[in-house]
Amino acid sequence: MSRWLLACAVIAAAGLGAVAATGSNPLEAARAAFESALGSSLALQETLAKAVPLLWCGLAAAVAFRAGVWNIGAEGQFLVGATAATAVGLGLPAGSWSLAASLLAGGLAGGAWAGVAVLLRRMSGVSEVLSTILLNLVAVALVGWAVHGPLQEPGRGLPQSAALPREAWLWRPFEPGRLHLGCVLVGLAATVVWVALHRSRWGLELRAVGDRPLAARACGVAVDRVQSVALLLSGALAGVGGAVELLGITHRLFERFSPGYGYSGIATALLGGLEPAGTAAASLLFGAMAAGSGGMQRVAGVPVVTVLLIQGLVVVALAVRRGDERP
Amino acid sequence: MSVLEIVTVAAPLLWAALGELLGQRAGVLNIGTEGVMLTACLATALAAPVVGPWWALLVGLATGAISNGLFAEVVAAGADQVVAGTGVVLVGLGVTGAVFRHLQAQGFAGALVTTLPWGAVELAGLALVPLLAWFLGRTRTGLVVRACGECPEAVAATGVNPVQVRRVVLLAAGGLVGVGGAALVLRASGAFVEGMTAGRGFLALALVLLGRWRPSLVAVGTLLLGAATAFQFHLQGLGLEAVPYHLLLALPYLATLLVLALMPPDRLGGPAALGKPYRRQR
Amino acid sequence: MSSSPPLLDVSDLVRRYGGTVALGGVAFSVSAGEVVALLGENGAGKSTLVEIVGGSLRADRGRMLIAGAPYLPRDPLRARASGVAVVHQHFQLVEAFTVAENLSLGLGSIPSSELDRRRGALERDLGVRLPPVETPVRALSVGERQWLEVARALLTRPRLLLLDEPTAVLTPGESERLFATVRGLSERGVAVLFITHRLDEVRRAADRVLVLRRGLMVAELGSKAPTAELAAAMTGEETPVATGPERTPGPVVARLRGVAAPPRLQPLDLDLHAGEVVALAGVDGNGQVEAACRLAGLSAGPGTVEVGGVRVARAEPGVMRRLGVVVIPADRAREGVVPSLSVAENLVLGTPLGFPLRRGELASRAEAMIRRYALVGRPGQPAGELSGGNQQKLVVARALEGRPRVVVAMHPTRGLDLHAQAAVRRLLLEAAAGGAAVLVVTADLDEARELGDRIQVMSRGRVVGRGDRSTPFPTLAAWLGGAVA
Repeated sequence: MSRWLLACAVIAAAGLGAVAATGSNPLEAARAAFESALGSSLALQETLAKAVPLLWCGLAAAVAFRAGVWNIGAEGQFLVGATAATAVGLGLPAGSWSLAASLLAGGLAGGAWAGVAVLLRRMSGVSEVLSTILLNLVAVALVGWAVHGPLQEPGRGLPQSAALPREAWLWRPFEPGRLHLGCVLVGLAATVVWVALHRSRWGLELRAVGDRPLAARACGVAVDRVQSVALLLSGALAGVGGAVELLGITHRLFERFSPGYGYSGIATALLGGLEPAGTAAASLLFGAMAAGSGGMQRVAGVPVVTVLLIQGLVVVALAVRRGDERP
Repeated sequence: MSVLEIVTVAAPLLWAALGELLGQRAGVLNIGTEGVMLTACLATALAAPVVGPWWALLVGLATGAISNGLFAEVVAAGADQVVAGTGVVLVGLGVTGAVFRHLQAQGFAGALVTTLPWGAVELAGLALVPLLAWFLGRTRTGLVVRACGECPEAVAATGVNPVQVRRVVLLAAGGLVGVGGAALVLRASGAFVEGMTAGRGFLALALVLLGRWRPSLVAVGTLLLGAATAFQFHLQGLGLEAVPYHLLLALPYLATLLVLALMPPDRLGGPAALGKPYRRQR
Repeated sequence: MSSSPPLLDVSDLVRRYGGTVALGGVAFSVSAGEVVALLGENGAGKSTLVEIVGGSLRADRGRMLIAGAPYLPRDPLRARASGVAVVHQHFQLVEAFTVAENLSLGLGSIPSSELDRRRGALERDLGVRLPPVETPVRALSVGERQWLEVARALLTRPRLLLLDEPTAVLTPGESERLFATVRGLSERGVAVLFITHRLDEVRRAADRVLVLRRGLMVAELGSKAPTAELAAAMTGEETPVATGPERTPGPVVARLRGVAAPPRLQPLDLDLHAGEVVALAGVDGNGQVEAACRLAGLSAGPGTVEVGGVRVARAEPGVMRRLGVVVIPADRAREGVVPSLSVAENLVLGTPLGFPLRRGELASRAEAMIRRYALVGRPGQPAGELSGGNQQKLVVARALEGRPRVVVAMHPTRGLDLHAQAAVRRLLLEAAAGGAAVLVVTADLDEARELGDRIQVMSRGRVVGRGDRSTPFPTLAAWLGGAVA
């Protein structure tokens, strides 16, 4: 069964189930969801805005998984990227280049965070599954420390950073809608990833390593190096994603900065078949779901967080499907 | 700060870690333990006002067992354990969040339930440590369970189906994790809060590794953590904050990473077939 | 032997794997107290036969009787209940467990005190010596592990014991002890059936020999039959060999000195000349693949590898590639073609490429290679869709395209149909004609004679015979069976 068919079936079934559980009218709920996801310019912007972080993390997961590296740490790399971007954005005098510097800082920080996992892998043979998960948890604590400590907004006593100066914000062309320049950036990133994967020797070798590492080795490909680079790049993508979310949407760092984008990104990558285009489509779908869940909650009383449940079911369903496929 | 306090704080994590240990000894890596524990928390909190704390404990156990049992089915169908586990975390977060908020909207306060008196959960948890070690190390059944985690092919060669063994073990392991979730509600907080497990399920993963898959060492690690946490509460109570709270939060993970970094590659140990899907060869 | 019905009576056993026939109707019997050797080359069907009798595999057709009663084991547990125990070629021991734990795994119904008693009896009566029971298996030598597997089988008090290549990993001394145990079992009325490809063992240990070839029982001989007769039965008739164009070997291009991979491969010296094909022949598992992997840079170990006068410091395929060494790996499914990449992408994997890769360029390059190597496939097609033969041709094409100095081919025609086999062999000969030094690992004597300017037959990790096309076939066959030149 095609991935998309399976995913849509799961989403539809779970959505119906949730609506039924609240005793509401499915048609009304569906209409409300549609309206708050696609029904107006504001809604569309919201869908796109919600899709952006999903796609950054999705690209991160796709690049790593495609190389055969299980990066479960996009969540932590995202958070660390946002933290670094906050520090740079607040620390540098305001100017248009502080925006670029923040983005760069986000990418470097995310890459470095993944780099810890790379080191542990190369030097001590530690599985990246475990190390990236642990690093996720450390990252959450890091954000907590930062917003209670060095980056805390002076005077207010709230667990959040000061707001970044306006010059450092990503441009929103259609205010009051929340669509921002980060959408273009992520589109560019997806294109670059596609070109790298399919039109470069590096990408060819990466795809070979992820499918048949022994065959790649026999052809002379340096498997270890390819996988390490993939993991670093993956972390950088997630890190930039965190910076973009900061600079485009929230404009300040706070606890619970990410409602699980890193994990949801894994879901979009799997649904997208580990391809940039597919991941983008999946991110749009999940973004629409997230935006639509607002309407569902208003009208049908289905809590927004149900989206996580549905994403989880999609992941599980895809996992079983892949398991059936493999010899 | 008393031993009693340390054990109280550590008990939920101990149950969860022992559950994860049992599953891993059989060869199944359950990243989703966080989700399983959280689901058990919610079920317990919902049941307690209706049936009282003792029955609610059982409800938590059963919920954990069923959730883990579903995971076992997914894994038996050949799904990759890591990916499926990630899905379970999302499902757990989503289900508990959704159900809770829905009930909240209808007036359910998620507020205080009668808690359990001290003793049952804590002492049973401590007693479980030598019991589990004895079961795994000294019984024939435990031998088969360990063999499933080391070399399921060898088990299959004797005519026993490793997939079936793993199913049963995961049910039991889920029950243990469920008790941990129930304990969190019935002993520690007395209420359900979203995301209340706060990474304990992931910590369990770390503890199993740090404890080299041995119940006794895992228990020691858990109690050390409990002591550190209790100590921190005391300091906060006194108005001091010797160690930044968040550093303490990250300490177990950092410690695990450090230990992992320092260990030479082949000394990491662990069940040889951990995380690898088993397929009947025919 | 005796007037009572044979202990094991097998008739008309058939087993297919997809399109291939592993056993095409095999019949034989073994009596109590008899020691029977099952002789055959790789792929003859010996292991399949043992798996069926041992309960791990079901036959498609046929009938088995144990002591006159129908025998249809659904799994090894039930086979053991009927008194049949198997010692496999590939160990099924749990490394992390102790000797005692491995012994009691699978013998769950027998109380440990009884197990202790039986173990003691094994040591006393049959000379089965085991290390202290609390020793972890990880710490045991390969020979000790073999003995542990034997002990595990004997603890169930079988009536029939099946041994699959039991001496493959044993030293001559350990093999002697094993055969003494076998004799002891036979004296106690236990029937023993052991698989081997070694002719000397047949003489030393067996009463009777059954010869299997290509899934059929082709001969049943007394164990004292002449070596030549046994060898001929095992390897079959000599087939006429098509000789390629005459080639004169050039200078030495690669040197192996003291290359070893204990215990499989003993220190080996080998010279490869340009324009020459050297066939490393032998039953799989006697060290040929290990030697080839060293030359290809796929593994490291004692001894030196020199290519073009340059001593290789680091064993990595990438390094070897730059020195002009390419490899055609043994396991096509895992090490050959990358199924999700296209044919064109597979063909250029590992070669220097400019950025960006243009589809058109890759496609035309691929088209040229498809024509040259007679591949059936389109450049844009996922390589996983190609047939086995075409996948192998792709692997060969990819290897030969860069005009390498040294070609290491491991079992290059295994699992291919006759057409594809001929095509691959021709490609290898052409490579040699073009000046490459070619090392071919093969278990097929016919292939060795067709390809090899020099043939080195390996057994137990050593070269036991050196020959070429003019060496008489029976001599080669005898070497294959372990006879030393």
